[in-house]
Amino acid sequence: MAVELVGERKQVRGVVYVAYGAAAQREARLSIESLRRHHGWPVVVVGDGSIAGSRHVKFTDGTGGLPGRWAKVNLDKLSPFEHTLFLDADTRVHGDLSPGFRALERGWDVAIVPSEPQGDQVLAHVGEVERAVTLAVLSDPLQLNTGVMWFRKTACIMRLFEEWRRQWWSWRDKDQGALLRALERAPVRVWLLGRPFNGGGVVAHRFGMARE
Amino acid sequence: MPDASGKLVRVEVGDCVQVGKHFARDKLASGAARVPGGDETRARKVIAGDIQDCGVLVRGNKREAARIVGKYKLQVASGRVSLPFARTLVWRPGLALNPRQVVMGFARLEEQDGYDAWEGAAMLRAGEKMALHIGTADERRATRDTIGTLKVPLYEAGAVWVRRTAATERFAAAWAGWLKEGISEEHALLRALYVNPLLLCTLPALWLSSWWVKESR
Repeated sequence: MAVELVGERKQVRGVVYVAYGAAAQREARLSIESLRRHHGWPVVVVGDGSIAGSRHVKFTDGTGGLPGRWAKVNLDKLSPFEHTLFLDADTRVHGDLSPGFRALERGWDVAIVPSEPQGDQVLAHVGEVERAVTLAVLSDPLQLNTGVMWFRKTACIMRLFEEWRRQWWSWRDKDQGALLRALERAPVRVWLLGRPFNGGGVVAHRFGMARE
Repeated sequence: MPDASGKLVRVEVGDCVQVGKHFARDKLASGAARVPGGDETRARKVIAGDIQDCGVLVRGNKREAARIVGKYKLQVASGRVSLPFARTLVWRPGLALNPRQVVMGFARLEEQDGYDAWEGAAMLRAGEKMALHIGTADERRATRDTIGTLKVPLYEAGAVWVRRTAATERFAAAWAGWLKEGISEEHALLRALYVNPLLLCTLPALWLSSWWVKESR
């Protein structure tokens, strides 16, 4: 007779935050509280301090000053979950986040939301030279916002993250340009969700509030 | 100019040369150099002749398609959504395309340096609407039942470039099936994609306008 192991299923899914510094820790705590009003998934925080209601993962900074970004491009190694939702610390959850996990269960490797700046403004927040190099290779790409991102552990995701680390290390600045370059070399199955899931009614995003 | 080892070399405009990182940054920032490769280079290869495996599947008037792509001697077929070529542009003639735009889409599917290549390329639909904004109540309900939410962006169904693989053949069959049932273009494409995950390169809305060239007659 077949039975469903409910407890085991819950551990497949989990949420990861990255929070270094007092401001990020404060924002992550408030984000976790908002998440808890909608979902009971386990939460891990990668950073330099513990937050109530979550498990702390310590990750040594090897970048000389950008531990948060370096942790983000190492999420494949840091997340203990088979299916992970990464949330920026400065997000607030106001609705159902299960569609992202549902896409992973369907066979998509990543679920993510396109950024608001596109076209002439694509990657405008990235350094001038890095932006020029990225646009020379990609020519008008679709910018993706990595602040709300679901991914599952597959061989191709491991390749993507390895490439993302390599690309990010060239400039050691923002991560979104590096992700686009990494996707070009190591494509994965990307399912897009709409703006409500990052900067809208399901997940509000208080951009910049986690920085000191 | 110095090459990567510091040795002075003579170069001409158009040459590709390996240089140091700082020199590269300076020249890129000033616009005096560009990174080789990328869409333009791949497109030139496609236009130059790497197109034997490319063709256009027209969901409409085949003669109009042949007129547009004839310059590049692309194969043309017509009928329901299918993948008759190794790389197929599934095109609905209501969406205006010129030859350069057609080959730029094929360039997105080309393998590079032994890495995996995208299996499909499709643009988001202009206007930032989501599935909850279009279609009948029944269509929206069925899409929500399939995908789990209607808060997903819409794709431009008029031009989808596809490299034929096992995954994309399943996708194309599903897409054709939904269209045959009379489902709206946007909902049919969304459902077909969702239930058949593939390596899809999503392009921004109005990506085609990046490659608009006035063709002289």
